[in-house]
Amino acid sequence: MKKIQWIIPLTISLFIFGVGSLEAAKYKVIKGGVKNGGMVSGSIILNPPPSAVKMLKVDKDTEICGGDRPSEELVVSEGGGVKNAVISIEGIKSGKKWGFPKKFVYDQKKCRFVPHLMLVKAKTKGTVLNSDNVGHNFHTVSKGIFSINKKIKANAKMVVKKNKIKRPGVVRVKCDLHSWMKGWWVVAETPYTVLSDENGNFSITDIPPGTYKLKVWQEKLGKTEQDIVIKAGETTKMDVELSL
Amino acid sequence: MKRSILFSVLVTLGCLLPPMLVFAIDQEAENLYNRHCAACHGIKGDGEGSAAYLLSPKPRNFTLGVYKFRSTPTGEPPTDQDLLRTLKQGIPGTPMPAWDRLSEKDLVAIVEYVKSFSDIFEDEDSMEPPITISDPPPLTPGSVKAGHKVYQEMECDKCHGPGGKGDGSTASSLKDDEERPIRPYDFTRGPGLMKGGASAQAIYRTFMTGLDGTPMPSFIDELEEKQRWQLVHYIQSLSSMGQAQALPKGTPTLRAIKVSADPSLDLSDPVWTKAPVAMVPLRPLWARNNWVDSIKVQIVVGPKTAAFRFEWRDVRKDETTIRPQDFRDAVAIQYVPDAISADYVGIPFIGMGDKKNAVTIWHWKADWEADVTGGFSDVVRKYGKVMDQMVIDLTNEKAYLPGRGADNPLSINKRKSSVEVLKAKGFGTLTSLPTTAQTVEGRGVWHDGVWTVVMHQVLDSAVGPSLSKGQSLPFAVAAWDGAAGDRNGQKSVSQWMELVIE
Repeated sequence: MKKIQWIIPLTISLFIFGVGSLEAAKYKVIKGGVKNGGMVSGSIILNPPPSAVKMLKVDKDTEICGGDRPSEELVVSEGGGVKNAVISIEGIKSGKKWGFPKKFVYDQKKCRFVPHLMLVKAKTKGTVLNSDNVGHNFHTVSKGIFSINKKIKANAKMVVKKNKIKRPGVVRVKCDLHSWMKGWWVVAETPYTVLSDENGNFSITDIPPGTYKLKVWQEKLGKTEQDIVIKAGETTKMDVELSL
Repeated sequence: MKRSILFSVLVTLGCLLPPMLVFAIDQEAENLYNRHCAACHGIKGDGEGSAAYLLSPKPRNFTLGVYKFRSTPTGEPPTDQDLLRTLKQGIPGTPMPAWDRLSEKDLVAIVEYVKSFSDIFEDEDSMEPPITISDPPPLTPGSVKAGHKVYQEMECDKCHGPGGKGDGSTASSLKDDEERPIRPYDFTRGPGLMKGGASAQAIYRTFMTGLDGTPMPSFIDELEEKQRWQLVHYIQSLSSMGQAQALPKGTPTLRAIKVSADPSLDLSDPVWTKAPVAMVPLRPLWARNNWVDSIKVQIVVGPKTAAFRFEWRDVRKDETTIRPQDFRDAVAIQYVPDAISADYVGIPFIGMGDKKNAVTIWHWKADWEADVTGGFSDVVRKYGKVMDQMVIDLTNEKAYLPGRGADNPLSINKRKSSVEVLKAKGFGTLTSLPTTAQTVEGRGVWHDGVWTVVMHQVLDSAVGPSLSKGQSLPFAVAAWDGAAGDRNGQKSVSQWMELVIE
């Protein structure tokens, strides 16, 4: 009996290991938080800043939607700070708690998606509102994340159940009735994902010390990445310069 | 001790066996997919097949996990039944053929293989079930009128237009998920071209679940049950008078009858009154409003000759290709010589064969027909007075000798046949057979918007097919409408059919 005792546990553990390795890619929260974490802070700059802002043609339901409006695809402050860039740290397998909202709210106001870009955690439930007096069709485009197309009539809402936003990635949001409407949902891979503010400033805290890649994505300027070193208890300063 | 070890080994092997079996089944599905689907949908299922550039609408990119025709709510993956239905019926008005002749086992295996290109099918726990579709209430003038109100309240007119013609105010700005321009359906075309199906339940399902990947949304939360059926009735009333009525479903089998007297080239040969007529549906490779959507086919086999007769509607006779802007009307048959059976496992890709199996093509051309009946037509006929400066005198026989010596079929100024015999091993490899093998004769007459063409072949010639009793031959038909600029890969095609010699 003793001789077979290693075959059965070996087979079982091989099986469990096989299944377990599928889960290895997912982010894990460290119980008790990150001890001696570091921080990164900085700005996303566009150099040189754009000369003119692109205008969107608003030509349907103008009584409700208003007239032509500036596009939100690239919002740059006077100092060259880029708003709504997505900054994330790549390569962190375990770290701090998520701290993302347990529910999201996404609105359509005056034929505009509010917010233009929403950062969200996968599998979060939420509500999509139509605060306008006109119908919109809520149409998302993604690769295996959340691809839906539903008519939401005036002043109505749509419930998004838990587990419907399937996995990390980028979702493009549009309305076919009002073709200028454009929005984004960025489904974060880890809680180490933030948006830059209207001055282009950002900061990410409680990062386990180590060497990682800092990734920046902006809807018009595309993506860029840089190596970053995080030391315990220290703040790494990182300004990222983008170009058109 | 030995028994315990043997037991453990057997258990381990037993655990490995199911995955190995699945692997074996996958291989067969993969072979079928690579042979028949990959040229359009791509080997990787990404819609980037080698033939994709010839097609509109573009073949589905399975890696995105977004499907148009589903019984499940928007954002949900289709059920296996949804995929089987699309696979079996094909999609009318598009290049997607009907695969009803594949066995149920093969169809199920292909569906599983197609699903494997996207991981949206993996989260089975969070998948929502199909919507319920009850029996439709009867259509009445009252329900149609009420449906018209629903149509306006739901703003269907914004895309589909106030009269359902697909000419709404937003129609020209619509784009699909891949940012390609897309048009809303023109209901007045008729029920036969509704891609998701034209039955009352299919129309209900279409606006209740939406067509994911397109601007057509789901209206599932917007309407009460009574209003939904009223909308269905209104849509049906818009399309009922449309020309595109539903074509016969499924892939027909062609029956060739054996006759005692050899059929002639004569279009009014009495044998044609006896031969069974097959109505073959054709699909356009590039969708447009008017294409050759069906063709009547008859086949007769005599002791020494065989004849194929075709009849199809074409508003205008196009029988010249001399000017660069002229394209000819044409019809062609394609078969696999030496085929043992018309089983899909053995036959090559529908698009002119593949590396493993060649196809033979008989291509009848309206301009060659005009050459045969009215005398050879060369550029001098169209551009006579402009040709003063021509160095080569095309009325002199010698001008054609070098080309003819090289077996160039366009150098045959005494054209004997309006049919060209060609071979191909996949599109792009089309090759005309040498003059000695050009033994198929043709006769074609256009009258009052209808072409009637007969192709005639002596059996036992070097050029097949051998048509023996009981034989089953893979067979397909294609048609070109010169008025629409059809040529080469711009045409209407049938699916592989079984030609049975009775």
